[in-house]
Amino acid sequence: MKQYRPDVERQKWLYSMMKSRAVMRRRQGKPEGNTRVAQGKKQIPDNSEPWLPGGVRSVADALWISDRIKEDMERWGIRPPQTD
Amino acid sequence: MGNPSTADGLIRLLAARFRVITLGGVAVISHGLGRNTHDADVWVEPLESPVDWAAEVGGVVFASRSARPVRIGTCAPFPAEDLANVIGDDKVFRVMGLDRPLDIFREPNELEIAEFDEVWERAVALDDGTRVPDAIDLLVTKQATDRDKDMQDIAFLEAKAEREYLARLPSAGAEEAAFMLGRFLTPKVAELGLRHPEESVRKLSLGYLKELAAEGDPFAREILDRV
Repeated sequence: MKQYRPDVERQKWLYSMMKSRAVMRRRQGKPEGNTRVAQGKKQIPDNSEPWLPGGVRSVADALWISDRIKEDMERWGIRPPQTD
Repeated sequence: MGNPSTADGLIRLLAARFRVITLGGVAVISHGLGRNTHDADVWVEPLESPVDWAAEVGGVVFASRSARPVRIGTCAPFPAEDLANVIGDDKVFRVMGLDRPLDIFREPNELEIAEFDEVWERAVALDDGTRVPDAIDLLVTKQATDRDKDMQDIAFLEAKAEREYLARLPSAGAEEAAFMLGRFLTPKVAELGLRHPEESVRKLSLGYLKELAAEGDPFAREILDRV
């Protein structure tokens, strides 16, 4: 059995980004964690909705989601990031 | 029955006769990532040999009037009698002429033919007879592809697998925990293993954490500095 481990170079990049964010927040006088929570305010909840209630139940569902996203991207003139 | 002039329809026809596992964009979208995909990828059970596979799977694909099978690298069309050689050499072929390209694998990237049964057993069944591989098996197919476009998929699937592990590992017995750690490992998962009630799991997790740190993982190094 192969063990899956995250790619080390990507881990270094993520770590570097995390440290950079922490430095930036310190310079801005912000806490390291979520600012709203640190201030005792209520976090705005996630209001995103799934493409399909109940999730993907078939290949057709997955392709339908892909096609809707492609249409939206074309409508807004966004170049597709990937084409596999 | 499926409409053989669409990728989805041809996949349904294949799934009615063979075990079919989705891969690539279709599988990642099925896991919950909102993104588009240019084509559909499926892994059809490898059968005994490329010759058997070509006869059985090729029989379904070449029976579709719309389907135009081509070689994956060159897009060169080929006749049904060449499928055994093509699949033996390339492990995959592409079907053009449908509403979108369909890549049909006998052996996908980073997974062995012999692993089909276990990947199938771990996969989630969909209503159309196909199955979606679990997040870790799907991650394995995206390992070592060196494609920038896979980065988003990898980040999404790693986070999903890690969330599931963080929820399951604390209550897993020693044997199950060792199996889980042997299959999927991140610094956070190994750190959680350090607090497992079983000593053998704690030792195993510490060993893995040291391995990750030795490989250069900065998160693992930071955790080791703390403990």
